[in-house]
Amino acid sequence: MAIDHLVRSGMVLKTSHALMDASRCLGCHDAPCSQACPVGLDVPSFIRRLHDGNLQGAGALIYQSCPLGATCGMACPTGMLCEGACVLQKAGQQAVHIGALQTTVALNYKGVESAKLIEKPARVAVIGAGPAGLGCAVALRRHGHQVDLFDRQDQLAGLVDRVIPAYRLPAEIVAHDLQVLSGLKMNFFPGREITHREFETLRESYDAVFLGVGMSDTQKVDFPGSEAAGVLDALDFLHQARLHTREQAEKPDLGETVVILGGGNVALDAAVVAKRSGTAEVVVIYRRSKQEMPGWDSEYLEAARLGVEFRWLTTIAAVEQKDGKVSAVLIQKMRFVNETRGGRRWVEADPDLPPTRVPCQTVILALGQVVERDWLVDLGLKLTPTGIPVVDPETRQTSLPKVFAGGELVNGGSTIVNSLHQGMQAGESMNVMMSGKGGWHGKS
Amino acid sequence: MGKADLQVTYCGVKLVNPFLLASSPVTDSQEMVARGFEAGWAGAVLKTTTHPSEENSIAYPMMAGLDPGSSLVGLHNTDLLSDRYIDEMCEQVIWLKAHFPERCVGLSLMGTTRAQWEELVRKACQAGADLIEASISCPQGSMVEGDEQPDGRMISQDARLTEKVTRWAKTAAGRTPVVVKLSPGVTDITRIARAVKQGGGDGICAIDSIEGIVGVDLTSFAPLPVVQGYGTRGGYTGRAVKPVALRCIADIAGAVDLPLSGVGGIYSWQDAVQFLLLGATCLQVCTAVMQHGFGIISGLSDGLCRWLEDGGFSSPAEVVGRGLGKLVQHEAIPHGIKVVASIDTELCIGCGLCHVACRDGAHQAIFFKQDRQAVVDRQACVGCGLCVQVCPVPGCIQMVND
Repeated sequence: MAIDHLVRSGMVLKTSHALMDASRCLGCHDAPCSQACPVGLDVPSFIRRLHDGNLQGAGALIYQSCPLGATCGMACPTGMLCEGACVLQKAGQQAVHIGALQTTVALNYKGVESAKLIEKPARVAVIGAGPAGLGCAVALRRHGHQVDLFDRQDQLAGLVDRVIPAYRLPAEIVAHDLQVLSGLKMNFFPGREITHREFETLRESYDAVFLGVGMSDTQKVDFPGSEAAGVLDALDFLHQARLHTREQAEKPDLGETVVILGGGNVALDAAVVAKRSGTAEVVVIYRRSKQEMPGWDSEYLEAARLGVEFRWLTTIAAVEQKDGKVSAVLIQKMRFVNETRGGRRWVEADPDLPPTRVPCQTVILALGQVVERDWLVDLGLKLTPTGIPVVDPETRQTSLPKVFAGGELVNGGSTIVNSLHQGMQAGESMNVMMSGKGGWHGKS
Repeated sequence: MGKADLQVTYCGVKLVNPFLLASSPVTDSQEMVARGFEAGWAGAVLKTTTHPSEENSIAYPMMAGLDPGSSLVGLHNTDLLSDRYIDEMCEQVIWLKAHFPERCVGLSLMGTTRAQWEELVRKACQAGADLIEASISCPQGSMVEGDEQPDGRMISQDARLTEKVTRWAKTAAGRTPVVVKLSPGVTDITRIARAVKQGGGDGICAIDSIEGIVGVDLTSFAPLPVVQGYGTRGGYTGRAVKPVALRCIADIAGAVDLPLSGVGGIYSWQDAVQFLLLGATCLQVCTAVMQHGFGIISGLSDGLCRWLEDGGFSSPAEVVGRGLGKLVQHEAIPHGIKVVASIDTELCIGCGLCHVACRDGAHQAIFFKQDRQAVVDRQACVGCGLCVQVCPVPGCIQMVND
């Protein structure tokens, strides 16, 4: 297997060691782990099959519910999902390491999915080939419908295979899932940006359209010096770093000190990647306090363990440059004001404290991703006040007939498995609507 | 260690505690046995030996387990005799008695003819063995020549032959006690036990391993362990055989007046106490040592000692056979008293296994609520106790009077 080195390094459990953990699973009735899983994976059953030596049967079960089986096992925040629900913890025991078991089983799965053949397949255009788009495409292909998958990038799996650091999710893991799905033969059109005019054409020429474009717009900053060389977008930085681990890009030259602006998982990933690549000093600048930080605790703890410095209630006032290159940042102290906006405590610059100067060579901006609101408006979608498409929570249908949406575009940034689930939901409901007697019977 | 005195006397042999190492790979060499004695074992029955004229060829591997690993249920072996013949074993007896005069050194013997049995026994006695154990129950077959073929695969499946061989051994042994080890693989073990008594045997050891097939390899279709594509019946031992061993000890204790040595699945001090209560005077251990080493003797002795003290007993001998009076026929168990399952909500972890077991294996008397709390319907509960057996949390479910 091409993942032998991941087993040797301990990232993936050896099957024998997975069997040891599998024997700890009680096989709960109405299992809380399954209930906590967005795709409802039957965890006790796959673990039992593993335990009974039916590795292929266990793998088939995983992929049936979770087409990104190996990826989710490794990248899911399992402590907040399946493992967090494991009843063993009520007895003071460690949860069964469900994520690790899932990845091990998935990687050992040798099956390749094949699409069903049906007489009158519908044709569906899926825009965005990330977890949501893939989920939708997989569900549809399993029912025998034809799927054309469009993405502005040239690879499948979206951000999952672009920006998640290799130490958290090696490329081989995603590649294995895509190999299992390869037999579904989805038509993939890489490098295709869909304008709103093209969207109209797609709507006319396909039976249905799925929007899984994620949050593809980066929030802008407007401090002096943000155009200097050495000011990087976090997603670009993470993408370069991921390419570097595959020896497809040069190692980014970050200098001795890196300052990262933001408090989400992307900021934390960037901090850890910068630290692991040998940067002496990595400072995370976040405008609120640790309590408000949207990044997961597990990610924060990893960054803190590696010695990343966190400066709470601060922001970047300006970037100083020398010969067009970053030479320092001016850090402004913030303070809470008695006001809440968008459900979050608001902050303002503390007028009593002047900015402090921190010399650095690289600034990484991780202010978070947003949906491309203008584009969505141009498509004619009904949006919520916060700019998110209005979607039926069961069918994933938008305000436009035969147009469905799911993933980060709708959930505003959640987990891979949540996006996957929304895509699969959409695919399932499309199938029901398109296979109904008298043809299409969705809202129109 | 508590203060109760663990000394017992078995067939006239003084033991510092009731725990002996059973004849097995554990007792094959004096070096191993010496380490066992140093760890605290009261004695050992050295691995079965025979006359050098007999072939003893073991095929390897010879072990296979049921649920191998930390939850090993039972161990299966296709072992044969020690590869040391009688003279070498006698030298080991002499060495062990010289170095550990206070410990019991027995020797397990297996012969084919009367002359051979007599020679083996005489040599063992001359070497100073404290007792002779007659091995007539090996599932791999007993060695008998001529028209003395047993009514089964082993001598101990044939009462007439058991009596005969016991007499051969006892006649040659003189004052040295002869203990006969019996197989559970018989229709009525009390018949065989009576034959031992009839033949002049001094004691009975039960049980020998159970003849079995522990599994079949799904690639070669051969019984486990597979040797070059083939396998054979073997002797099954360990935790799983304890219920059979306890039943046999109780049956024999109720049938003949001979000191008994209990063996079969003793892993804990509780197991040991159970054998004493059903009539064993001393105990033998093999599989638990093969799995966990000689060191387990410390916990066995300590647990037994504390239990005796807590019950106000000063010696293991005081409890031997005390449970026999409680063993009655089914119709004599008190009937008609309603008990119900009671779940400790503080201990319950909400796995729902009791609910599933009761729903599909009993009387649909345990409900599983939305909050993952199992609740017993006292009307519907017949008190079978299945839920107690499947609950993963010790002490969480108990049967109580309704």
